[in-house]
Amino acid sequence: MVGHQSRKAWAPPMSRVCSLRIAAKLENLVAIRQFIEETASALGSDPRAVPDLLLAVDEAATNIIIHGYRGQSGFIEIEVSQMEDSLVICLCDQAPLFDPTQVPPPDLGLPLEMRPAGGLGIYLVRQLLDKVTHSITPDGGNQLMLVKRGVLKSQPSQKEANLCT
Amino acid sequence: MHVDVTQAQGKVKVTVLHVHGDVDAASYQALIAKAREVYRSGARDLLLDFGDTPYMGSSGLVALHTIATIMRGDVPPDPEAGWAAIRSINRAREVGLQEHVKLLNPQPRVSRVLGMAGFDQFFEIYTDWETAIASFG
Repeated sequence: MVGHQSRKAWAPPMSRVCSLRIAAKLENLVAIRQFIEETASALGSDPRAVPDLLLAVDEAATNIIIHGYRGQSGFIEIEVSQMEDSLVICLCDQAPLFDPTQVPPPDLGLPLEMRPAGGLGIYLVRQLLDKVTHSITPDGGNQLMLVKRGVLKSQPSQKEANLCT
Repeated sequence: MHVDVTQAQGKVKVTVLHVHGDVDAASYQALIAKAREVYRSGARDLLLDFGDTPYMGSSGLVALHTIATIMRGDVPPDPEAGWAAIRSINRAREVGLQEHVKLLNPQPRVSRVLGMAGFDQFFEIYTDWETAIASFG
């Protein structure tokens, strides 16, 4: 479950950041997707990229809820920010340490018992995004950073920009 | 998400599940349960109407595969088995196009996920109700 190098959580140097702290419950996935859709738009994302962002974050959050917290109560903190033409999404949680990037890529030749539960979600996340990294936060939680490059095509309107700090 | 059930008569009787809302990890089990319920009631040909489904995640893919398995009369895999379910999907792909479960009007975001997983290769997808109903049997 653990098996980490001790990497310091990365903090992106961003100008605008939108964040959401929400209980790690499956029924909150719809609110998480709504948050990503609104903030990706507010930060000037190409609308064609939004479905992939939604799917990637939904899968990542689902993994945290099901395979991280495993029914225990807890929170997910999501931060969406911009870096040049990239959108950076960080998901932080206090579930037991788990690095989903270490889940081996799909190998249909493996016996079933060797297939990690939840591997389907991270497989989709990797397919959809340009960079996926895991690190440990200063307080010992998980931080999953998702990067989609080349999606910030337009300057956000003032009204949209005001949605984020 | 909720599911309405209707029936239509083509060459055979077709049961239609109209899926309203997102199919994600919070809701996919309800879709499977509804399909299992109609199968137990005698339904053998199933059209899944995704015209009112804005979003589907990987849980929805697992639901689709599980439903196809149920409608073939086979024992479905544990839908929480992740890649185990996907391996079964690849077995299903070897079986070929599903004759008893078809899809109607998936929206662009749902079509994208279906395509990523290769599901468009073994589920017939229709955009027209009458053509879809007539394709069964």
